[in-house]
Amino acid sequence: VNYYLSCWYRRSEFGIRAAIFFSAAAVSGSFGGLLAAAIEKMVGLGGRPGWAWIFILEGILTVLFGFASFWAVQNFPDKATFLSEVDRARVIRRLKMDQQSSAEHEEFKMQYVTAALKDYKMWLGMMIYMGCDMPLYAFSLFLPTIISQMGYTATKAQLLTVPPYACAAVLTITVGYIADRTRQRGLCNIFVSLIGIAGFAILLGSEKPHIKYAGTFLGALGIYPCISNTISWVSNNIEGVYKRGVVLGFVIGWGNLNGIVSSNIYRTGPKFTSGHSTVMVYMIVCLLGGSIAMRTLLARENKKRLTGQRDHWTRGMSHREAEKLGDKRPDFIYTL
Amino acid sequence: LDRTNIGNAKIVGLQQSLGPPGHPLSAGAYNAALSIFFVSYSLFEPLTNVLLKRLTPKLFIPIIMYSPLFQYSLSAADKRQGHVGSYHDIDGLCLQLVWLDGCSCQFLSPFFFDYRTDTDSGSLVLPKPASSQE
Repeated sequence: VNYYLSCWYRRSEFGIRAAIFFSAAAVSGSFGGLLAAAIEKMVGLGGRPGWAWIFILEGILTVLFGFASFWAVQNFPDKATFLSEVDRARVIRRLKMDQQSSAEHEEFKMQYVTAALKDYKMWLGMMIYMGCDMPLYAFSLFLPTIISQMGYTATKAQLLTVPPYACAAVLTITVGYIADRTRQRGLCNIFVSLIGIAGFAILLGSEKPHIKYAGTFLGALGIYPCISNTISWVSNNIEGVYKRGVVLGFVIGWGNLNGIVSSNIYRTGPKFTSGHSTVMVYMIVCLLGGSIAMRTLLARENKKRLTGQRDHWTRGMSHREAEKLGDKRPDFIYTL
Repeated sequence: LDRTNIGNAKIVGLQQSLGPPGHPLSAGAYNAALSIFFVSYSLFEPLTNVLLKRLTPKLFIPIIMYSPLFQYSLSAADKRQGHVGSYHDIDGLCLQLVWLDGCSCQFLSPFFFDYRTDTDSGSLVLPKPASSQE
């Protein structure tokens, strides 16, 4: 979905949209808790256990939305039939002015896949994103334990999982808005990840469940905004519709693969020392360190491009040929 | 709601239902079952982005929404899963987790579980999952 959205909007418009989409993930964390509170009342209904009802309800909902998707989903701008010729030209012109000429039309070539694999921005993006996703998956594994330590059970415990996710959703959208305006996605990642690191430091250092609960707020505030911000950042800096698709695929896929780590490090509660410290390392090295490295490298490259040191890349090329270079065009300026 | 709900399903007795009669599935086996979920998710992510562009979103998004979910809802509605400890439980779970990702990689599950069926009781015995330290 993020890839699809990135092909419709200018680079400085994408952050808030990705943030709204991803904030749904945080909101679903909240709803999940509410839903589970309701489903507890359904245990045994129709001779089925509670977990079966979670799957049944979720399945029904998605099938209904799937039905709507036949009408609601539109094609990429170059083939979108709901637009008139004039409007379609306007959408593509906006994208071209934002150095996204590939929106016009692009045929699939293996060359786009190799271009993606050879681009350091993809590998660094994967590193940053694993620093977001592993802590994200870890979250749902230890939050219920902290709440039960505070002495809450059943419905009340389920409801107490809601506030950290809800706060995270609000900050995700706020950061998306700020990053679009300032175009400083790297700095946003760096500052926000510091909040999360502070949160996990509290989780690791405190024995008191109420203080730990406060730590989960900071943890959620530090993780969720970085997820959408990282995707917007990587997507902004890869030009070429197919290349971006492959890069986002690798980044998101690799990030999610790190969910395996999360589900295997939270074993012995309620202290979870190994779990929280692994998350800390991921956040400091991958998320914070990776963001600093990415920003430094992109800033250096921008400087070279702006001072004309990359102009020789297009020497002797026609305008059309130069457009095909994607983000390797000397006039393509990276979002920092 | 998918990823979060796997956690909620655990709270409302998924782990309990999957184990042999009267016992919950061991933490290691449950974690291994969760891990399968991520493998196909990751492998198919780059491929699906290219397919999205090539097949066009109007075709691809409805397909990807339906292909897993018919299976997914049906297997949850399947009464046989109420039989605690039966083979269908774990098989059903693996299918659901894998199908959640929109692909049918049932072949992955043998890499995580060393299946051994206890023929006397008809229940599935789960020895050490490959990815666990237990």
